[in-house]
Amino acid sequence: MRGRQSGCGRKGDEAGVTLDMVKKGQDLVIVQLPKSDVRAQAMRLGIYEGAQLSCVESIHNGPVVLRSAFQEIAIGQHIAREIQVTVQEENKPARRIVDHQTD
Amino acid sequence: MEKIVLVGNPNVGKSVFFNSLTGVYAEVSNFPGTTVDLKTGKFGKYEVVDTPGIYGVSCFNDEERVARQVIIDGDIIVNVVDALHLGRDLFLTQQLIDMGKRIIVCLNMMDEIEENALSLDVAKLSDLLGVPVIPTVAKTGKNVEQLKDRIEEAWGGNPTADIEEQLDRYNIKVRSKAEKLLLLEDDELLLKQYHLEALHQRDHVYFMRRKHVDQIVSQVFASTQDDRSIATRVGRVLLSPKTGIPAMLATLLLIFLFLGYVIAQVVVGFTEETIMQGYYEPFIRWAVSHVVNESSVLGQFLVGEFGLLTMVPTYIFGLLLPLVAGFYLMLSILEDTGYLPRIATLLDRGLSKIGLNGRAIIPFILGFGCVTVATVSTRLLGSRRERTIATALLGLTIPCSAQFGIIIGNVSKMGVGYSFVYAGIIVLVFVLAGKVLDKALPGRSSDLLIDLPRMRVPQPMNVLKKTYLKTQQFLKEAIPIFALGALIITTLEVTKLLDRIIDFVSPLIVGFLHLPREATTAFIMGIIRRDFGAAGLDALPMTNQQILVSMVTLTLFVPCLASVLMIFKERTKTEAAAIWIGSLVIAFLVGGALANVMLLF
Repeated sequence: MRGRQSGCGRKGDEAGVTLDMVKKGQDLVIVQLPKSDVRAQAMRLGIYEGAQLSCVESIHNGPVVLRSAFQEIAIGQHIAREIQVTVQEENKPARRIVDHQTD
Repeated sequence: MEKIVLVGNPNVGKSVFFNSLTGVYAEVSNFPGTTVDLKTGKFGKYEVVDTPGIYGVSCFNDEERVARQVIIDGDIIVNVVDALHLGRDLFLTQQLIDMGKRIIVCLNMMDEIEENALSLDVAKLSDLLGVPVIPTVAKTGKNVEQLKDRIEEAWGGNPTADIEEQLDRYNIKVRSKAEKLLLLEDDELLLKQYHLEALHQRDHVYFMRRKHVDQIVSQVFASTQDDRSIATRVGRVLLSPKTGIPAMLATLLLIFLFLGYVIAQVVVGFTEETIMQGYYEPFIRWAVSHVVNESSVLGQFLVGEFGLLTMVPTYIFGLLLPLVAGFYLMLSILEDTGYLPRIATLLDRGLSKIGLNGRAIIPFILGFGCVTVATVSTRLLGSRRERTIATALLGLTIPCSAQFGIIIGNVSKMGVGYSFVYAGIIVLVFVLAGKVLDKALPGRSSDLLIDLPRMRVPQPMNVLKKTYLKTQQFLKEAIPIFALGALIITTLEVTKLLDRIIDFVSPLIVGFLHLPREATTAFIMGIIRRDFGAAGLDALPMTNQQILVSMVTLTLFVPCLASVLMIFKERTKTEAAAIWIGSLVIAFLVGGALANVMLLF
């Protein structure tokens, strides 16, 4: 998954992709959360290392909205920049097409 | 007496279960040292306590500290969870189980599971958690009564294995398993109490529990694929900027039309002018005139221009009541639909430019109802820095519903062009003041991290009840301050001090703001309540330019006495004084600049 860059050209961490680069409709796995107070809050809401989530909205220069089962969570851009993720291959093309209708 | 404690995440319908258990008799009391209210009642031999909505048991905010204490002291926990938000809610459930509490779970909002054609295995959930689970629909009352019969079945449940092993790491004697667990989670209050150093295990414990819970969730749902229900789709449309921003603007416009036209003009026109000024005031003057002379000092206090029996009831019941009720009606609908967190998400980017995050939109929206209430609600913001910025902006730029109604009435007199100039100036001051505060205050603001509830059609009864309760609470707070304001103003008038103050301040009002001399009274009254001031300006003959200047100055002017007191209570004395004096100075500077610029044209 290394080096997968989004078009906005923000400099990613050496280790790879951060959450703010993820695009609407993509599935992802959390690789690393920042060591800070938000960790506990994030874990309570279902965001932890190894969690599989999908991105249902990414507002340009704004928050990213993730889905875990039937729960949606909005994450501010600054935290999103500090969360390392890997983007998963899009395995359900039919579903994705439906998802992109609102683009 | 044994205690039943109701616990759950915010907005899961706990109060329905509380009401079902306790009937109509509930007591609301304030938890010492906080603004958090606790409801208590009785069910048979048990005392029942309702706790504020929380995401977990810890000390992250006042709500959690209060709930934590009640839970530690509780005997049976009734845990209400939202079936569609199991991933979020079961974290709390599992934490309660890990604390060794006797628990019974009400799996609420099961109707939404059916409506969205999902399948959830309730028996399996009960099995995995090791506690009884009652599937319920609180809004229709389905299975709610079952809780009464099954409450004794509350049981200890299956703790997270990896956490259970570590419970004794501190190796000291504590009162309960609950305390052991909280100590392991670095609970600051307990560490202090037992004079211990934190082992920094919270992260690890949370991680284990989170994995355990996610496993349960994946086992009880047949599928966790994205659902295509209407609620989900509407939610996404409102969240996507291309569709969400127009929808948000349309919603705000509708609310302003409702409040500014239907309520402020039609309803208030009837209640204030027809009922209060047409019937009530002449009646009370007539009635009082039999006992005291209207022009005597006592008469002035009772039925004079700012009389306790004339102006106070007219303002409160004729003007304030419809506006405030209308505002809380709109707010309750917005809250119950689940729209507010989506607005917060959409506006996060903009608000982050003035050192706030999207959540700050809540105090600002509340501020349009009552700046005093909104000042308290700034507590929900993540850092002291954000609370200061939000409080200052609230005091400076946000007109409360009472004032807002009068402003809309005045602004609409001036026509569309002036209305835009007015709105533009206020927004500009808001943004500039925010920018300056963001640059000036040290530190960094916290970021947005919120869960988005599902979009729902609000329950009319619930909305009306909320509106009623909030309006009632508001009136309770407003009436004494209004009465006090009326007493002060009448005293100033009777002692001729008012004229002296007017003489002293009027050069500023007449010379700098180019307003009529009489407008001075309105500004002095505005110190007590801004809408007092706005209402005072209402009656003066002024040109459009003068109306604009006076409305801008009065909007930016110091907030009402109640808000100022609240600001002093919530912030440090220096900060509060700076906010108060700052508002005053900025109001006159902006108003004066505007008046003098308009003279050039």
